[in-house]
Amino acid sequence: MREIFKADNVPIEWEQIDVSGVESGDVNSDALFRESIASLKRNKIGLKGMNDAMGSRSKVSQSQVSYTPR
Amino acid sequence: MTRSGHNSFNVALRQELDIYASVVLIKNIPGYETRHKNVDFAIIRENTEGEYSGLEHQSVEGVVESLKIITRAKSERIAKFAYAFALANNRKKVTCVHKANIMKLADGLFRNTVKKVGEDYPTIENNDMIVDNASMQCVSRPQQFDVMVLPNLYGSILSNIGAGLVGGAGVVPGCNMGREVSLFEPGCRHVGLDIKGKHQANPTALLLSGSMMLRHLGLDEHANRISKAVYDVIADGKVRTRDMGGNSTTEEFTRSILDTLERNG
Repeated sequence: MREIFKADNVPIEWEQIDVSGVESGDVNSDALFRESIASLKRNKIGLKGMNDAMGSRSKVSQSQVSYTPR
Repeated sequence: MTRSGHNSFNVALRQELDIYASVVLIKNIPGYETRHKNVDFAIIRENTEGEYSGLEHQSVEGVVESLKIITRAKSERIAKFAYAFALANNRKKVTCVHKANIMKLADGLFRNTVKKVGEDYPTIENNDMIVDNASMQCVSRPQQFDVMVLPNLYGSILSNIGAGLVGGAGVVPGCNMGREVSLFEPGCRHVGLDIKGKHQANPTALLLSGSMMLRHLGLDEHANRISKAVYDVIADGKVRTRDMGGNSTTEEFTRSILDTLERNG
């Protein structure tokens, strides 16, 4: 995903949060959840998907973006 | 049960941020043949109440009560969203899906509220359909649907039926809209544990969701270039992931999209 956005020079900066720990009952799951909420509140927009689709090891990733004006 | 853990994370996220409307677009992908042609409808699902209230308890051993909450306020909000969506996207009809013949109070309130909101949108046709019939109609004659508006659980089920019509969970994009926050994600939220680590996942749904996000940000040119590259690779048919009948890996598919992006310029 990010590779493709980068290839098209999309003017977006990502803030990535890996939330696979929340799913597997990670000790930090509370913190990860709060971080996701805070990030979404800050950026007002987000993209969420399976990290697997991107060939990574963790199950679910959540990425937020902040919009950089052109 | 990792699935339920993941789901509750999603539910918590939606409730905490009040991202109340889920939008899933069910549309045939050019060049990818499925049983039904000319399928093109949107599913607008209430995302914060209904069966997902999280209010379950065991009153006595062996007896569980699970509370489904339907409020006029939230039904009105999702109905307005559905009709406004129909207007903005040049769609002609809104179908309210419910089970008001059995859940007379809860689904009755939902159906009546949607109907009332519809009166403010006289140019948009409206009808309502019982959820079991809607499911059958969806798989027998899906072309009749334009915009569907549903309570939470029916929305989840119909989104999955809809995805099945056009190629599965790997190809259907979606987004969740709130008062302030918009969260884009594949339309039916399958974790895909069965193909975990096998590099077989189809990134189409995620890429198209990303492209929807770019449109939302006003970055239409980027959105169009990226979605075109995805559609071009699928239409070309040479590089497809397993769920689409091919044998390419996620990486090969992604590589092909990158090459196509470069070629398209």
